[in-house]
Amino acid sequence: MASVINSVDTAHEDMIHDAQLDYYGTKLATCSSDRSIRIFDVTNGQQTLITQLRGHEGPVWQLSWAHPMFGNMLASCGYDRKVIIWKETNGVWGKLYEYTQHDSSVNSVSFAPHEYGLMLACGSSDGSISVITNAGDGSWDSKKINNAHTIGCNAVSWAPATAPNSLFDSQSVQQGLVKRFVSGGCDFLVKIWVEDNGQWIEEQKLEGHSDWVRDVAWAQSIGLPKSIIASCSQDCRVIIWTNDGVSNSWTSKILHKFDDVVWHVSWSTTGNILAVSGGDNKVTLWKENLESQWVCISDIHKGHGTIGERPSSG
Amino acid sequence: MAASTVDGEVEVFTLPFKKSRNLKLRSVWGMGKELYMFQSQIPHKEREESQRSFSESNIFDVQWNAEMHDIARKLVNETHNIFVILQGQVKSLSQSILYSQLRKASKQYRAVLKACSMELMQIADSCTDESKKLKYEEHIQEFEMIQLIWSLCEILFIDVAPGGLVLTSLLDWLQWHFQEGKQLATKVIHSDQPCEHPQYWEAIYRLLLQGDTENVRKLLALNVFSHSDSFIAVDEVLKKMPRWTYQHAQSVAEYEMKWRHWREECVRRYEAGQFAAYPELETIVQVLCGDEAVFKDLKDCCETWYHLLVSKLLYQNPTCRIQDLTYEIKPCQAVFSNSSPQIQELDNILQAALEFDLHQVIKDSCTFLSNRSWWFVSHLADILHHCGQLDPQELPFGSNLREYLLLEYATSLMAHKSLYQVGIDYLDFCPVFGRSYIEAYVERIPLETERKAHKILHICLERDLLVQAQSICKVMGMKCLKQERFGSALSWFLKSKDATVIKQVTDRFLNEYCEEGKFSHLDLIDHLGPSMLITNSLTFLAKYREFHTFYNNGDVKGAVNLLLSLISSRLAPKFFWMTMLMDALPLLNLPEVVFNVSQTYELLHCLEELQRDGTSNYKNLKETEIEKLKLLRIALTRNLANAILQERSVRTVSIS
Repeated sequence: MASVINSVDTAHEDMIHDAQLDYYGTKLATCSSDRSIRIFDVTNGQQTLITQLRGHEGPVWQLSWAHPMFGNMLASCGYDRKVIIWKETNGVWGKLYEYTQHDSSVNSVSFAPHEYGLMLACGSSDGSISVITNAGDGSWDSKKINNAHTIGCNAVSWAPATAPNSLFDSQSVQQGLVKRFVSGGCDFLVKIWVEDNGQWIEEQKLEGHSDWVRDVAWAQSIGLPKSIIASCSQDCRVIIWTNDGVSNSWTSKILHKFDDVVWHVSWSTTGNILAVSGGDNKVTLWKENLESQWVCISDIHKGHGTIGERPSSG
Repeated sequence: MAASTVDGEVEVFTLPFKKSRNLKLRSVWGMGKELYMFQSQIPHKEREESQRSFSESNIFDVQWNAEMHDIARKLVNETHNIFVILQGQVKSLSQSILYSQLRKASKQYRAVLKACSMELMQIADSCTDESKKLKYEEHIQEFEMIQLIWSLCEILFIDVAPGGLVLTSLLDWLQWHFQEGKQLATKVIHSDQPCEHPQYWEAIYRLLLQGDTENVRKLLALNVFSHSDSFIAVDEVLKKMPRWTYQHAQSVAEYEMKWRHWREECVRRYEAGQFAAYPELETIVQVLCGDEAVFKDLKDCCETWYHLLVSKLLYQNPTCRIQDLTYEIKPCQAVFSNSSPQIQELDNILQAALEFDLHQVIKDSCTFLSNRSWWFVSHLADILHHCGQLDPQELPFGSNLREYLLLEYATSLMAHKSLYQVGIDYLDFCPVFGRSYIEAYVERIPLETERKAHKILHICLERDLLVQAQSICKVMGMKCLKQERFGSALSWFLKSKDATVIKQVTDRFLNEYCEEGKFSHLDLIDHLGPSMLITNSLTFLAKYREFHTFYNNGDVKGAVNLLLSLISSRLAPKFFWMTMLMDALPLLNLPEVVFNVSQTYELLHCLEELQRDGTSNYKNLKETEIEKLKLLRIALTRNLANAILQERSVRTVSIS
C-alpha cells in the first residue's frame, strides 16, 4: 500500500524537466523550462528552498549530483548547449565550471561512480558524447566521442564501479576498474562504451529498438556477477539487456510492449525494481519474480487521488 | 512450487495530477521503497519549445510497504530482537534444541503481535479523528487475521503435537480467536435472570462447540430447572466426557475406547428420551453424539467453516490426525456459502494451510497481507525455513524464498529515518544478497550529525565494509574541512587513510602555525601514533611537533638533529621552510656552538634555495621578517666561523 508522505511545491514558472535527489535523499534539485534550477532541503517531511541557480539560457533538461565526498556538487545540461557544474562553498551555491563544446542541445548528464574521481558524461543532440574529468587540481579536461549516435544522443548512464566479474577477486577491484557507460540515441541504438588507455571505445552496439531510444539505465549489480541495462524507446518497448559477467555477449528480453511511448527508465538503489515512465500518464514498477519473469508490481498514475496522511502510534 | 510465488494483482496508486496529452508522469528513486513523482512535458523530436501546457509544479514523495512501521514501531523493534536472537541460535544450537527455540520464538512473535494489536485498539478507541480511526481499525483487523493464520501454521508446521493428534491445539486456537461465546456467557451470568436471557442457550451452544464443557455446566446450573432429572443427566454426561491430554500417560487406544464408551452412553440416554422434556438439552446431547444434522443447525454459532470443522472433529473424530484435516474442509465450507471477498482471501490462506500447501499460504499472504508491510510473511517464512518446512532450494533470482521475503522487509525499512538499523540487521541474515544490499544502502544513509556518522561507520566496520567506511570518513572529513574544523577533518581523514586529503589538512595546520605561531590541535598531533606513517605530510607534522617538545625540554642536541633532518628531507611544503629556518635562530644564538660546519651549510643551502626560488612567501615577507632573515644570515655566518674554528676544518672546506 502506497501513501504520499510529503509533497514539494517547486514553484517553477514553467514545465519541470528533471528532478534528482542527492545521494542521501535529503536534497532535491529540480530544473525547468523557466531556465532555472532549484534546490530544496526535503529532510523530515518538510521542504525548504535552499537556492535557485540561474545560468542557462534555455530550458534545463537534466541534472546529476556528484558523490558527497566531492562536497555539494550538481551538474546540469540544457537547450543552450551548455553543461554547468555548480558547487556549494560556505553555504553559497555558484558556478564551478561551464562546458560549451557541444554544437546542439545537451540532453543528458551523469556523474560517474566516485571511484573514478570527478568525472561526468553528457550526451547531445549533435550526436556526440563528452566525458569531462577534473584532474583534482581544479583543472578540467574533456574527451569527446564524435558521432556516437547519428542525429543525437538522448541518454547516458554509468556502469557501477564494481566490475561484475571482479566480485570474487577484490584485488583486481582496487587495481584496475574498467570504466564503462551506456548511451541511447536517435539511431535506435544502445551502445556501451569502455575506456581503454585513456580513450573511449565503442564496445557493444545493441540493436533491438525500432525507434529513438529515449532512456537507458545501468543497474547496480547486487550480489550477482551479471550486468543489467534497461532501455526504453519511442517504439513503446522496454528492453532488458543482460550480460553474465563472463562472456562478452548481451542477451535481450522485451520487458513489455506498452500502449504508448516510453520516456524514462530508472533502477532502485539495489537494482532490482525498475520504474518505467510512459506517455500513458503512468509510472509502473517492475520486478523479476521468483521464476525470473519480469512482472509489474505497482502502477502509479495521474488522476484525482487522495493524499492520505499516515497515522502513527507515536 | 506454484507457478508464481509472490505475484499479486498489480496495485494501483493514483496521484492528484491533471491528465494531459502533453504531459508525462516521471519518477525519481529515493531509499528503499520510495519514489518522488512529478509531472513533466513530453519532449518533441526537435526539442523545440512546444505549446505550453499547464503542469503541476508539485513533487510527491510516495512510499509503499512501509505503512505499518510508524503504526507499529513496537512490533518492528521487539520482533527484531527476537529475530536476531533466533538467528544466533540457528547457528549455534543442535537441531533438537533449536526446534524448541523455534517454537518459543514463534510464540514470542505472536505475543508481541497480540500486545501491539491491543495497544492499537486502545489508541483507536480514544481516537477522535474519524479517518485516522478507520486506518487504525484496518490495521487491527489485519493484525487479527495475521494472528489467526500464524497460530494455525504454528499448530500445523511448527509446534506439531506428538503423534499428530492435533485436536487439543486446534481447540486452543478456537478459544483464543473466537471469544464471542465466552463474552456472551459473561453477559448472561451477570444478568438478573441468567436463564431468561435471550442468548442463554446461544452462549451454551457456542461454548459447547469449542469443547468448553466446564462453563457449559456452570451455565446449565444457573437454570431454574437445573435440579430436574434431564438437567442432572446432561450434567453427568458432560462431566464424564473424556479428555485427551499428553500429561496423563494414556495411550491413544485407551483414550479412544473411553471415548467410544462415553459416546455410546450419550446415544443410549438420548434414545431413551432422558432429555426429551427440554429440546435445548436434546440439541446439546445431539452435539455430544456427533450428529451431522445438528452441526448444520448450529452453524451460526460457529461463524466460519474452520470453526465448524474443529467443532465437528471434536465430537465426531477426536483422535483425528493432522493429515485427516484436509478431508473435512470441503463439507464444512459447503455449509457456509456466499462470504465477502476479503474473507474469501483469508479462507483461502487457512484452507491452503490445512491442505499443507505452505507455498500457497505464503504466496497468498504476500498478495493479501504484505501491502502495508512484509513483516508477517518474512518472519513466518524465516521460522518455517528453519523448521525445514520450506523448500530450501535456490530460486532463479539467486537465493531461496526466505531470503527473498527478508530482503523485501528490510528494503521497506531502509527509507525510515531510524529503522534503517533494524533493516541492516535483517540484511545480515540474508546470506546471498544481504551484504551487497547493505553496501548499496549504507552509503546513502544521511550523515546529519557526527554521532550518526560514527554509528554508520561502526556498522560498516563491524561488517568489514572498508570501501564504504572510507567513503563515509571522506565525506565527513570534507564536511569538516568546509566548516574549517580542521581537527575533526583530520581525525576523519585519518580513518579513511587518504593521503591527498590528509595533506590538505596538514597544510592548513602548518599555515595556521605560520600565521599564529601555535598549533590548535596539539592533542591530536601528539597522539598520531602509527597513523603518522600514512603519508609524508603527517610524518612531517608529527616530527615537527616532536622537535618542539625536544626544544621545550631543553634537549638541544635532539632538537638540532631533528630540525636538520626535517629540513634536509624536504618533506615540508615550501611555505613552511622559512618557519623552520627561523626555528634555528635561537639555537644559533646559544652560547655554545650546536650546529657543526656541515649542518650549518645545510641550513645555508636551504636559505639559498628559498631565496633563489623567490617564492611568493619570501617576497611577501613583512619588514620585521626581512629583518629576521638578515639576523638569520648573520647568525649562520657567525656560527659557521665558530664551527670552523672549533672543528679546525678550514682546510677541508677550502679544498671542497
